[in-house]
Amino acid sequence: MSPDPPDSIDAESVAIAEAATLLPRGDQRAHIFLEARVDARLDLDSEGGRNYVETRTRGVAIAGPRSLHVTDPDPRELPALVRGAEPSPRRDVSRHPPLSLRTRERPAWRGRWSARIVQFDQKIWVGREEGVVFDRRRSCRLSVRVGTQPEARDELELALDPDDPRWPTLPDPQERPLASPPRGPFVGVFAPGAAGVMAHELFGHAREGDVALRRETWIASVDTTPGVPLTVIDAPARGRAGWRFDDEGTPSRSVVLIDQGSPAGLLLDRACASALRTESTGHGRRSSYMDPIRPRMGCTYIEQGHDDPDEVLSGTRDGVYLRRLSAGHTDPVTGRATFVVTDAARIVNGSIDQTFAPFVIMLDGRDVWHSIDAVARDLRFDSSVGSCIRDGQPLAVSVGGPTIRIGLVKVLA
Amino acid sequence: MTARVGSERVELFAKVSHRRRATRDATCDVSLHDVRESGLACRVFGREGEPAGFASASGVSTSEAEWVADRARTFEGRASGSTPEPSDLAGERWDLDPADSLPTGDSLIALVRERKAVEWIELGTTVEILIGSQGWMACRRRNRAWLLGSNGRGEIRARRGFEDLAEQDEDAISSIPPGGIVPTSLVLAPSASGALVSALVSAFHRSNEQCGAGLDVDDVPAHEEGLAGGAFDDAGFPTSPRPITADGYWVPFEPGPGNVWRGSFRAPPTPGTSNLVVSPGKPASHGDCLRISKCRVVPLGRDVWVLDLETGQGGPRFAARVDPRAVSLAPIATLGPAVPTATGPIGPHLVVDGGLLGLREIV
Repeated sequence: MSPDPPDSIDAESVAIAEAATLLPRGDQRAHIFLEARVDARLDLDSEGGRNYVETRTRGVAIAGPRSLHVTDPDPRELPALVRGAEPSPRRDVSRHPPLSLRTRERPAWRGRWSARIVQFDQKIWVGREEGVVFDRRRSCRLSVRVGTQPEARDELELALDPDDPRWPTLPDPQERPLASPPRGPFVGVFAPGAAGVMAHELFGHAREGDVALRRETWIASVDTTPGVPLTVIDAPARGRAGWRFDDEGTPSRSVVLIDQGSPAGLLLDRACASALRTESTGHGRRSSYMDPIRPRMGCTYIEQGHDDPDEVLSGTRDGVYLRRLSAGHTDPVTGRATFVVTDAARIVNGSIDQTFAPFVIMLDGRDVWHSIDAVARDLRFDSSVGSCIRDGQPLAVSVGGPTIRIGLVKVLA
Repeated sequence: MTARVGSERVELFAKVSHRRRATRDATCDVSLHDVRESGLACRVFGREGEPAGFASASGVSTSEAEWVADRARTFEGRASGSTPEPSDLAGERWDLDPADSLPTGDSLIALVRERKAVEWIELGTTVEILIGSQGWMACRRRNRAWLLGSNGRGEIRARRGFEDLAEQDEDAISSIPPGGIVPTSLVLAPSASGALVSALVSAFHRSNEQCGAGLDVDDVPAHEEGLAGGAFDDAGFPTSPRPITADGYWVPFEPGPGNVWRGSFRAPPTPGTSNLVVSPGKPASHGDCLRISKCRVVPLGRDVWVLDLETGQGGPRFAARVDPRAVSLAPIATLGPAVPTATGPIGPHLVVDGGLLGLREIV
C-alpha cells in the first residue's frame, strides 16, 4: 500500500500512524478506521414546506479479531485504545464545514410536488502497519414526486453534483390513466439504466466474497453457456459515491463479475481474500465506524453491447418496457430476486403502448442468464439512485446498464 | 451536562449505548465487535403550538451540546414542539433495567463457537437521558439481546434482558406439515406476523375500519418484554397502554402526550406506537396449514399491497396483489404464546385466512 496523505498532515493522520504501529503484525484484518461525516437532508414541497436536518458523525473502529468501535475518541487516546484501554468521554471536537444544501433556493416547478435531497460528505483515515491513507466520499441525490394520485405519480431520481446541486427541469405532471399490470411471464425490455438494478441484485450480491464463501450461490451451479452476451462489472471508483480506497485502506479496483456469460471475479475484503489466499479487491466497506467490514458493491453495471437500442424495441412484438425499478430484494442462494416496477409500459408490435400501474416482478438468475438476447450500445448510469442495505448496513451505491432484452420476466403480483 | 439555555426552552436527549456482538464469519471463525456509541439531539422550542428547532450529532461532549443547540436555534430542522411542563411529569422519572454487566467478549465468543446453530448473538445496554430547561427530566436504561440462528429461516430472535437466547426452545409450530397446493390457512411465525401487524397498524391505526378476529392489538409502552417504549415517551410524557384494535375494529389513533417516539437519537420525536402487543386468543385448531417464516409487505399505493410470503428451507412461496382492507380482515386466530420479535411487535403465531388474500404459489 502506498500511503496517500491528505492535503496537509493533520492531527488525525499523525495519531493514527502512531497507533497503527501497535496493531498486531501479520493480521490482514487489523487496521484503524476513523470517519468524520456530515449527512444532510432537505425536504421541500409545492405548498411551501421546508425541513433541513444535518447530522454529524465522528468515530473510530479498531479492527481485528476483536474490534472496538467508539464514538468520537480523542485521537491522542488511540494508542491506549489499541492496547485495550477503556475509552473516556471526549472534551472537544473538530468540525466539518457546512454542506452546500443549506442555502438552496426553491425550485420553480409547476403543479404539486414533493422533493428530497440527501447529501453526505465522509472523510476517512485508515491506518495499517504500512501507513495511513485518506479518502473522501461524497454524494448528493434528489428524488421528486410529481402529481397528486399515489398510484399515478411521476417519480424522478437523479444524482446531483455535491458541490453545486442544481434543480433539474421537470416534465409537466401527467395524471395519466394506468393499465392493469401484465399477467403471466413476459418478454422484458429494460430501458437504459434500469437493468443496473437487476445486475446489482442478481449478479452483484452472488459475487460478494463472504456470501460466496459461506454458501454455494446460484451462480456456482449455473450451466454456463458460451456466447451469452452478458458482462457485469463492479467499479468502485466510478459512480455517484465512489471510493479510491476502501474502509480497510486497500486501493479499489474494477472487478469483472460475469465475463461474456461466464462467472469471473469475486468482490473481496481482506478477510475473504485471506481465506482465498489472494489479494483484496478494495471492496471492504462499513456503513459507519460502528459496523463490521463486508465486501460491498460500489458501481455495478452491465457492459454495453453492439445492438441498436431502437431495434431492440422495434424487434419486440409483445412485451413490457421497464423504465424504472425501485426496491429490489434477492436471495443469492436460490438466485431469485423481486423488484418493484414503478414505471413500465406495454410493447405492442415494437412500439410503446399503455403505461402500467406499479407491480412486482420476480427474476430468476438462470432465466436471465439463458434468455438475455440483446444488449444495446446505450449504457447509462444512475437512472435509479438509492442505497443498498445488507446485514442492516445501508450504503450509497450506483448502478448502470444499457437497453437489454430478457425473454422470461415473471410477475409476482 | 448543561446547555446554555438562558430564558429559552431547550431539551437535550442524550443516548449512550454499549453493545457486544459475536459473529461467525465467512471462514467460520468467530469475531467480536465491541461498540460504544453516544449521541445528542436538541430541540429548541418557539411559541406554543409551533414546531421546535431540531439538530443531532454523535458524541456527548460539552461542545457537541453547544453545537446541536446552536443548530436547533436556526429552526432549519423541524420537530414536534410538544414537551411536558414540570407539573406534567410523573413523580417516578427512572425507568431502568437492572444494571447487569454485559457478558464478556470471551463468553460470547465461546457461546457462538459451541452452538453451531448460532450465526451471531448481540447484547447491549442503552441509556437515554432527557434534560430540559428546568433540569433533568427522565432517564431510561434498556438491556436487550438479539440472535440469528443458522437454521436457514433467517428469523432473528430478540428479547429484553441478557438471559441466554440460545436456550430458547425451537419454534414448536415448525412441525406442522405442508398443506395443500394453495393453502386456505397460513400460520405466520411471530417474526413474519410482526412484519404484517406493523404494516397493518401503519395503514389503519387512524381509521375505524373492521379487522380480523385474530387481531387483538394494544400498544403497551411499558411492557416488560418490549424492546422499545418505557414508562415515559421520548419527549418525557408519562405513558399508558392504549388499544389499537377492539372488538374487531381499528381504534382511531389520537396523537398526543405519551406516544411520541424517536427512531434513533438522530430523528426528531414523532407520534406513533412503541410496543405493539398481539394478544393470544382462544386456542385454535389449525389442522393442516402452512408455516410462513418470512412476510414482506410491498405497498404499491393506497389501495394496493403486494404480499410476499416465504415458507423457507426450500418450501413453497406465495404472493398476492391485494387490497390492504382484505389483509386487515385475514387474521382469524392465534397460536401459542406471545413472544418478542426483532420486527417489533410482541405476538403469537397468527393464523391467516389465505382464501381472503387470493394467494397463488410462485413457481
